[in-house]
Amino acid sequence: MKLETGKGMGMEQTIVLTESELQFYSGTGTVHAVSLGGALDPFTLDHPIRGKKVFEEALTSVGRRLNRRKGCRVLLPDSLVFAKVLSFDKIPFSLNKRDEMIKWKMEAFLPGRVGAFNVQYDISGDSVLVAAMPKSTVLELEEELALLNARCFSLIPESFYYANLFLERERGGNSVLLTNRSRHFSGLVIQNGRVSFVRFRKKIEGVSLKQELDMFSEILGEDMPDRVLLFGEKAEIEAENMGDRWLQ
Amino acid sequence: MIHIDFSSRPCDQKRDKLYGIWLPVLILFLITVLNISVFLVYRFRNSDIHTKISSMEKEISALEDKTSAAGALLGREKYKVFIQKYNFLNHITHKKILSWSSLLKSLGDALPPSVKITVISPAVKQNHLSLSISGEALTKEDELLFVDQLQKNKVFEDAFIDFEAIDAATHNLKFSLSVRYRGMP
Repeated sequence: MKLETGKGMGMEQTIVLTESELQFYSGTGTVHAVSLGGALDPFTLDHPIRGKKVFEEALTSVGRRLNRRKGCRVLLPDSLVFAKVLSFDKIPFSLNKRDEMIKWKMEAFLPGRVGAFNVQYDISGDSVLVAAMPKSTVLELEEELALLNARCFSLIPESFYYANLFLERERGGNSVLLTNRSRHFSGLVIQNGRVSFVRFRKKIEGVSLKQELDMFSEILGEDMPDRVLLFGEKAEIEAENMGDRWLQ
Repeated sequence: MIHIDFSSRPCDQKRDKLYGIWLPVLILFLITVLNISVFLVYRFRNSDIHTKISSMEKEISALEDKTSAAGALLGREKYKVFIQKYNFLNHITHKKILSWSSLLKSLGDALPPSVKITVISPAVKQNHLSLSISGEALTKEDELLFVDQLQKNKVFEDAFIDFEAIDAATHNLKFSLSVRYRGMP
């Protein structure tokens, strides 16, 4: 098996919101990081911004470096998002019926009423990748991001962005994408160019990424792709700790 | 590619708007302008021909007036009433001359033992008799066997299942089908 590590490949004017800092990739190779000092708590789902002043200062600082005409991509911590891959025998053609069916199915996985969530989905074949984020969180983040004065901006879960980068490079590829953050990790399995499994979760004390990867392997069995791509903090160090099984 | 974006004003949407709305509008506008200009050029270059055409149009409209007067004399309303009466009588006649005994015999020949018929409803469609049959089958195979045997029987044709569903109480397969009947009256 071959293991690759990567961070920020091919980024164009991108802001990465992590638990500890706000990273700005200008697209010309410049990286500007501003410490958030706990201003963003990605586990408080309804109102993740705890220190409004610090957060706004960080955004203003980034806003000065931003090319406003170009627009900007904002990568959200995956822990703010509930993601699930759903399978359906038949997906209705009507947009309303499709929305209704997916929201009804998601109701079981969400911690509150589905109406309180902004539910987005992407259909490929008979499987649907669904992501839901509390509406209050989206509103709060959009209000704060207005400080950037950007022409437009995208709000994308971090792992989905890395998955898109991978799929741009390898259509029909297979890989496990792991995003390592200090308090949470995200695992996303891509098989034949489709997201087949997704798990965003809080890190459990004493459980290493290697062990998480082993669990993935147990769940997926033979469908586990041969390649693992690691993103996020200390990616290189974690890669070394993965052990021979994932490095061969 | 994953197309998931929580932003209310994503960058791609603006691009989509440009290519999805404004560009087609621009193309339509250009086509309209081109059509109008071609029409105007054609009109002014061949003005003498158009004078002739307009005089001929006047003649045609005068002739049309005469024709419409003749049409009124023929009495179109009477013709409509006749068609309605004809359809009604045709319907009644076909129903009256339907031989139920031969129909039931043919149905009995085609009916597998594990299928029962609950409703038979004849209807005249154009010039042929169509039957709507509702029934229950123990299994899907029984229902298909019934349809197959209807197809094989010469007095039936175009058997088509309109509806089928498992009955929650009996777990039987309820179905309704339509078939064309061309048996002897």
